[in-house]
Amino acid sequence: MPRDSLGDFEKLVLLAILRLDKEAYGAPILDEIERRTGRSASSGTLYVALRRLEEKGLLTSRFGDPTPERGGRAKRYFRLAPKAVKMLRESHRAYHRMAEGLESTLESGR
Amino acid sequence: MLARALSPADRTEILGDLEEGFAARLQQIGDSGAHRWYRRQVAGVFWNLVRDRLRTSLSRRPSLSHGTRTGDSLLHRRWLDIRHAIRGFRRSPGFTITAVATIALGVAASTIVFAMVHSILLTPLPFPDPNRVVGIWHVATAFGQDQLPMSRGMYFVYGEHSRSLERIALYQPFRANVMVGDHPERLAVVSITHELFDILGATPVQGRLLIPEDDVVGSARVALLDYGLWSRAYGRDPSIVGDHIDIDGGAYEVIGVLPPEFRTPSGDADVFVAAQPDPTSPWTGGFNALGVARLADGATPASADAELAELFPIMAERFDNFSMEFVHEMQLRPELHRVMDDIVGTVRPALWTLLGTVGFVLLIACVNVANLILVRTEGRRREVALRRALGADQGAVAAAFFTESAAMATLGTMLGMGMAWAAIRLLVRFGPREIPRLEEVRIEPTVLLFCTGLAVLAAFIFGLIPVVRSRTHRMGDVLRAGTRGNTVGRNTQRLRTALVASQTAFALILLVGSGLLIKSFWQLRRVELGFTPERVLTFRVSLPGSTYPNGESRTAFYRTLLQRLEAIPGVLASGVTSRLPLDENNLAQDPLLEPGRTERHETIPWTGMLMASPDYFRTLNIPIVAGRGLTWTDVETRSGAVLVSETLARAYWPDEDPIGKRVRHTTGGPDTWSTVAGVVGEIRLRGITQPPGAEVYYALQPVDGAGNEWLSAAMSVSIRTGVPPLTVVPSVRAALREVAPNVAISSLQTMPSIVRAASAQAAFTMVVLAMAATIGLFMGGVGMYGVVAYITGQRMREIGVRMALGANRGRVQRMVMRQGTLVAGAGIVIGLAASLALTRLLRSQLYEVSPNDPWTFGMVTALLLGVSSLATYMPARRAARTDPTEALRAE
Repeated sequence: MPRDSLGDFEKLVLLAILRLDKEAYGAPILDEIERRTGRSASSGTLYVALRRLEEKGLLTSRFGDPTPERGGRAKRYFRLAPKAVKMLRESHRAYHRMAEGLESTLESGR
Repeated sequence: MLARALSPADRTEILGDLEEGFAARLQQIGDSGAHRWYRRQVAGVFWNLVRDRLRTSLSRRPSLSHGTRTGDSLLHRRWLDIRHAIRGFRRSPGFTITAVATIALGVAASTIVFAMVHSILLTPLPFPDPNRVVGIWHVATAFGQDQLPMSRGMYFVYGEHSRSLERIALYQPFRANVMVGDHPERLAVVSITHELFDILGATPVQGRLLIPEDDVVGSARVALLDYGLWSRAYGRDPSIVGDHIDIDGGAYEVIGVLPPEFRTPSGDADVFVAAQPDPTSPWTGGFNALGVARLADGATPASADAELAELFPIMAERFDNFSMEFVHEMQLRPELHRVMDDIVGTVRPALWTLLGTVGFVLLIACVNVANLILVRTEGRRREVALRRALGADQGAVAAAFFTESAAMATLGTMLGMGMAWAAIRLLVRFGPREIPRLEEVRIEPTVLLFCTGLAVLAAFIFGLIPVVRSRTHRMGDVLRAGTRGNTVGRNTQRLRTALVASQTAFALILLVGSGLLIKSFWQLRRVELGFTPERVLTFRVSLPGSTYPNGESRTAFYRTLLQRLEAIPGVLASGVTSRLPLDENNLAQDPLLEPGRTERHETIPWTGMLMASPDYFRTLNIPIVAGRGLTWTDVETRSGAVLVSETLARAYWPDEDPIGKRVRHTTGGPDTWSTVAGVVGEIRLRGITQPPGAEVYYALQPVDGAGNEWLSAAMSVSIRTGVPPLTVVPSVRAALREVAPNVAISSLQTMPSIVRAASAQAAFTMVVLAMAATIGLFMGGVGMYGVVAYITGQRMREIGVRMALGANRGRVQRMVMRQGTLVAGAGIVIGLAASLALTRLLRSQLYEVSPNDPWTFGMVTALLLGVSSLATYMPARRAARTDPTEALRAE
């Protein structure tokens, strides 16, 4: 099977989950992405991405306890699978090797 | 709402998150902002999640995702479309068969009629420059004669002096006894002048054509053979050229053979002989020579008419029997017709009517198929939405549907054309002979083009229907489960209702048309013939001048023959006449004078001139209503006794006794009066739709000098039998052979078949129109059933609710039927209005039936109401029978 490539948004989701660690579930993930990248995605897109990632074996999930703010519904927490961490690392390395020496161009003009 | 689309796990997760987010934003950005955010999120989730869900579940079935691979070539995609379409067809055979069959029927009918119109009316005749070939006719308004041929003298005068006519030829068709091998056959012979071949264009396949020298009086008599005769009787033997052939006792040298496609305006002929008209003969009287000419460049029939009329003084000068007074009395003037009009003029209105009819049938067929497609589109809304969800863009979906409809339309068209081809072959072989040029009907390239055009148009329109309809469906609505009361359904419903109403209207128009024609035909059959055709056998004989030079010899022949015939067991009576009723041959006519009415032809009607044996009237059961019949004594003594028709008696002697009055035709000399001995009952002599006319019957040997003895040269023999007529045929032939071995029988047929032939053309149109109407009615009924069934299906829940609330089965049934009847009623009203306007076009085809005949209209309306009731009754019954709980559960 060919190597799955990670979409742009999918990478952001993984990174967000990495950041949020124990509190990585739907709403905060979306907020984190928006806060850090300025990109406001819709919940729909997020959930689809989460499903895909889980299918690809890059995420694991489990249900937490229900809380009253959620109308008595439980939260679904996500964690990165080891594979995902490896992929992120590789991707990061590849990016930096490519971007080496180009920092000035890439970082200016924000 | 969203909750229902999600699995329990998802529900917890997503809805929980949304609640949380909502609560947070409520604090941050206030009430309305929070609500807006919530809504947006819900939509987004729904959109993406459901879509993705479908994508994953369907990706296990690769066939439905083919529209999304961008690497596919256009052709590949179309091929996949077609395969998908075929699979679709096999899954719903009912739809496919109905649609394809309907298209095939419509195409077949249109092709057949169009081929006929094309070959018969639009294809020019096989002469060079056929629009310049004209037949020469004259009009004598004072006598109500509008189709007089030429007088032989005109051949010379027009030929020598006219500048409008480039070439002119005489042709005179008749039947003669020709010795083929060792037995005589009655063949069609045409006596012509040499110009005919120039005008009609021909190259001989053997020998040569006529040259001017052949037309010189007294030169060797020559003949040409028709290709068919040469094949059949002489085995295409080239040595026939130079041999002699016996025609009516005279020897003619065969000088050539004509090509197979050669035709004369009067139809087929077997032998052509040189006419050798005599320029010095004083006999120019009687307009009995047919003329054909080619217009000179720049001349039109109208201009030629005028120019020829100016030549009358030359005619008067040259020929004794022709005077300018004569011309003025008769109000004579030339009237040339294009030969094409002469040949096909009679069927032209019928064929155009047919074309109009078939157009309606096609319309009904199209409406039906459109209806079917609409139903299918409804049922496939989900499939459309799925495809779109999989990423197939508008274009791909449209293309797929288009291909499907195109495939169906193409299949139907090919089937239809095959049917048309077979039907045309049958038609050419077995169709009524009265339809001119029928043998030339075939599927020409133009017709093929027409059919292909039809197919393309049909495919396009049918292909567009589902595309247009599916565009208006919002995917969200569709995927949301349930079909309760969506506006989409209602629009389609309205459209289909309109379609069914229009189908009903078309069917009504067709039915009214054919109903009128049927009634007309019925009237024709019931027409009082004036004689009894049943159990009468007839045939024609023609006595060659060499063996039977005068009236006496001919009379002796007939007397002997009739005696022989009456000796045959089974024969009750027999007689001869110069012209049978409803005969296709022309009736000899001449002005009839009586003492007191002078020679100057003032308002003297032309009456028919016939000759008959004494027992002829008894044979056909024609009553003698006054005086006495003819006797053999009259014949032998040349008493000059004649019989007249009732119409003539009324016209000439309205208040007096016609018996004993004296009359003569202008063929006779000044004192050759005949005496009226009796009056015969009115019969349909001239045609089945023509009223009885004025006729005079002479004895086989009329009074001396009557000038019409030649009438007995060719006569029809009639035999009334007590047994089926065809059983005596062998004995009849034997009897004739005994009396005269070199005289042949021709046109052997029973009187009833002559009567049938006389109304044949009306019958043909009627049968075809009735068939079309039946097809239209059937299709309309099926269409109506379909719509009502579908609408009822849509209303299942409503019906369930009603029944649950206490409506009994009868009410439900009535409710459904009422809807169906309303639709039908609308269609009927529209159809009636249209029919009232359109039936005027049929007037020329109707015999004694008004185009707005109330009886026909009433019957047809009742019939349609009956059919529509039946069509709505069945789904109504089913609706009433449904279990309410089932109905409520149904989506």
